Amino acid sequence: MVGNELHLLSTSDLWHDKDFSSLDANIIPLSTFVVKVASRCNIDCDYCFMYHGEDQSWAKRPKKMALDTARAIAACIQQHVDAHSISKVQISLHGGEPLSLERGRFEEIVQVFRQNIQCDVDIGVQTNGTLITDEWVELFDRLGISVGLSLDGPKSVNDLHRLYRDGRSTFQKTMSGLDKLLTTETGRKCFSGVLTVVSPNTDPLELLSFYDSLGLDDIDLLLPHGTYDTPPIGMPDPLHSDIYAQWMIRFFDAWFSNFQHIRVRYLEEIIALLLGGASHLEAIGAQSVNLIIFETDGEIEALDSLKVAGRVATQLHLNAFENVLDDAVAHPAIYSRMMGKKALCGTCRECSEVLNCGGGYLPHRFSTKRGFLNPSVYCENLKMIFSHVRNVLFETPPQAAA
Amino acid sequence: MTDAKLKIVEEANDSKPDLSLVERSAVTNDILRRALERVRNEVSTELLPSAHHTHHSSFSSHSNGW
Repeated sequence: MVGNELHLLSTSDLWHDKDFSSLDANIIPLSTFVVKVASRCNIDCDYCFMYHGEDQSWAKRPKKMALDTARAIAACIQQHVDAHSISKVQISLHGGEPLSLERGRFEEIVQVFRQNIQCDVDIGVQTNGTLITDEWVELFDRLGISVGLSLDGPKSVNDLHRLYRDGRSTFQKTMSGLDKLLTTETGRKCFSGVLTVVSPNTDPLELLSFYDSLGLDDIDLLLPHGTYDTPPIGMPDPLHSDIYAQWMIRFFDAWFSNFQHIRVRYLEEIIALLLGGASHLEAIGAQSVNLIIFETDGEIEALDSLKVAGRVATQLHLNAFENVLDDAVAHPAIYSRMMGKKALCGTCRECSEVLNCGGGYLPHRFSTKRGFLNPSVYCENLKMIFSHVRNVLFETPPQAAA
Repeated sequence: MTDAKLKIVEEANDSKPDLSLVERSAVTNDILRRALERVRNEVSTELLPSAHHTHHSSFSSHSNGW
């Protein structure tokens, strides 16, 4: 997809707006590793960055990670742990659908990481839930793995995008998997929460009520991925659409008033930022990002959802067999995410919200013409969300009449 | 666009916000109570953005997963 104009950009110009010839103290070791153990999925969500993004490299990768690749990744992480005296790492098993692996292979890969990385290792898996069985839950528990599940809401909402390849609904199978996590002691022990992609033409209150009825304690909201070249669903002209802000504000108000017992990761990160804290989530805030992706063949990428931007953004020419992770940290795609606002475009650097939004999520800044040197396609929406939350937090409520 | 867009507050958050109102609201709001507790804990452990890799949150920083 590389356009003529993009050929004019050097690699570093694609990623940041300043000269970082001398990397400064913001550079941090990597300690979060997203490992793609499967490059295929048993369902076909129409917004998926993996299969419906510009980068179609998934089709040429091994369908399932080989043990030799897992060993190379473990060795790569261990070298980094030793080099930087890292005490704890997080590994997120991802896909495709990671549960499309046979349970035996899944366990072998986990054991490779457990046995070959000598520090605290937290391991989680993100699944669409449709393949969860009692045996999988038992395995998660035995391996000490936390489980995140993707679900967009009640059937009418989930069926908008999360379908099988032949158009059938995935809802029933997903709910069956979720039920195994929510209604058993072992399932509860493993379950982290539900990841939901926002569908803007739906009712936020219905979503909250549905999740509350399921007894969910932790959910997260994800804005659909998009770029200036391929805008997010429902906003063909990103600079003149507030459809996601309107939805998020309605959701926030309902949650803040009536569903306080449910943790909503994205919104709680926004509140923490506005209270002077730091975001723990790479999608929001100007903090240093410490994660990296390993593909099923060992290739190293900066971020999986960059597939919406195309191969120009994902191909770093680095892999676990031939490189150490300090090679990755020295790549502009990685270190630019450790530079906070300094790496952002001039418009963002001069914006009053920059320390809150951090320029928005990296993939959402992309255009063929200017690489990542743009405000987020969600810029106006993010401003509205921050403004609304700030007003709720800091504006004195009207006094009751005497 | 709606009026909300026009209400964008102009200050950046590089100065410490006044949390007194939030502290009062937190008495009756669990979300604010959680948030204040978290931010105070981060400050007390000097969890600055550049030291982000040392945190022990219950989830990874990866947005497309937990």
